[in-house]
Amino acid sequence: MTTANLRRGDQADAPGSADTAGRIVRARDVLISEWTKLRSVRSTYWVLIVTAVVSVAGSMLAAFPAGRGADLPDPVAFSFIGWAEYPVLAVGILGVLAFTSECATGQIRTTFTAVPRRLTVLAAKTAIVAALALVFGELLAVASFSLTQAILSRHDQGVALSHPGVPGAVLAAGFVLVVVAVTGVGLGAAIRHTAGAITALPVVFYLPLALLGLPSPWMARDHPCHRRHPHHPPGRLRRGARATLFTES
Amino acid sequence: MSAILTAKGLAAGHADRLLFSGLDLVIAPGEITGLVGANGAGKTTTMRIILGLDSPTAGRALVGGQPYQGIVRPLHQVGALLDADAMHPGRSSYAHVLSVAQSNGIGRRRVTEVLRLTGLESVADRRVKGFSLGMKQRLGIALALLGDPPVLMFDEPVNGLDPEGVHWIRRFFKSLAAEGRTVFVSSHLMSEMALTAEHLIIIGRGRLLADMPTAAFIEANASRDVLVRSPRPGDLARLLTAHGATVSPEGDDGLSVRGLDAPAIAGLAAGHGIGVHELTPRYASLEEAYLDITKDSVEFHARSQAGERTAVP
Repeated sequence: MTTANLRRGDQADAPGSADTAGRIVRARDVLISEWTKLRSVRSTYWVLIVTAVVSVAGSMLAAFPAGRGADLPDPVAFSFIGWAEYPVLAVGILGVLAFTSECATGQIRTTFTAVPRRLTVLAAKTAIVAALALVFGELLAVASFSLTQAILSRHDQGVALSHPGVPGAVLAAGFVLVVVAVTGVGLGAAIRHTAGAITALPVVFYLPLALLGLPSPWMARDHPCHRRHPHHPPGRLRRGARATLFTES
Repeated sequence: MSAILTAKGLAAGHADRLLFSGLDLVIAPGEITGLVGANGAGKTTTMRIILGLDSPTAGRALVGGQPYQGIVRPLHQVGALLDADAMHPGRSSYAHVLSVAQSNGIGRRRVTEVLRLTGLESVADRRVKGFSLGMKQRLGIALALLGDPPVLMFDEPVNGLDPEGVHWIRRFFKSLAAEGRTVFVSSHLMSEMALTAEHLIIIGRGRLLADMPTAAFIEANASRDVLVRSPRPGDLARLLTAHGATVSPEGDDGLSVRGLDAPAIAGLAAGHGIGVHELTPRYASLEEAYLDITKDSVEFHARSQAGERTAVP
């Protein structure tokens, strides 16, 4: 706090704006800062807990009766059946809040004062939310798969993680959370209103699916979009793969 | 060291209805500069433009010779407290300050240091939610100090503070200026600025109204006239006018005299045998002087206040 160290920051600032070194410094700074922000609010943990509980519990609950029934056409997809509808969208709230909570509280003014490059802030937020959603999503996928298969195994319907094609399917399922979370950041930044952006989440993901169900003048039967799983023959990854469909369509 | 905070031809607002225009500012280092104006005159807008939070309609503001948006770690150049509420209430004060520090490459040691400087050490782990306005102000000041910047900007920093807080802030600003920093403070209270600032910038009526040292402003504006009552007001008026005073009648036997002070008037009257019943120097308060300059700029002013005058015997 003396005049002598007033110019302390100059070294980093001196050449200023446009050079690459400056941009890298800024990007690294902002990424660290956004990570601190994300982990220092309770809502982050609540969203992750709620997403984990409803997704895994949904799959497990479905597995109990299913395991007792006839042979499952696709036991791998069954591990993610609890994700397929709304539960997995909960992680989108993480992305939404990353932006809207700042708008609602005024924090955004502090953020933009510290980092006047707004696109850098948006990019850093997106990257941090995506990274967290990836780690969390993959953990959740493995957990969901393991627990569900454990139940199915009691009826000899389970599949091992080492089974061909299974690791890929589990990875892809986990990646769905990245897609949902990043969409949440986008909606949050565009709508800048928590309730509005959260409402828009299911609309964005399910409206296209709903449109596929429209009768013929609006939706030609042979339209390529209408084929639900263009890459998969019937029987493999069918129902539960609604989740993976997010990434494909 | 070049002028660190400058604005040239700054204009803000909608093109058809400008908040202000043609604002040229050079804020000098080493002293406290007060930005004074009525509510809505554009004080906050001026500061938001300097920080790149708003875009000017015309002109530009520079910090250390470059636009704020171009600075890689701007908190090392400018520290600002514009709005004490601009924070997420669910975060602890430590996490809040840390997140801002990290965005400018500032380490944890400095975070602890600014929390200590602003007396918030003991509440570092508490969530901001329950903070009083005074504590939020301190937290905002902690953020402003993070980068140890040569320029500090505060928008209405004493609003809502208790007397102790006001006193603390005033002393604090003086110490910052004494360290050679540029301290730019806004207020709608002229009396507050007269106590705090060494230099005044007054905006209103959509333009720059005054830009001068506080002492010069007081000198130029604070003294007003002398009220003289005499049984021979006509004779006295002629006499004083002949000695260079401006005289206007006030009431039946009163005169409002400008250009001569009370002892001079008394001396002249005595020398010419004119009796004087009353001789009262009248000062306009600083607030009044300020109201005079900004009169037309206040959009919704109370009529009853117009023409009030304080007599100081």
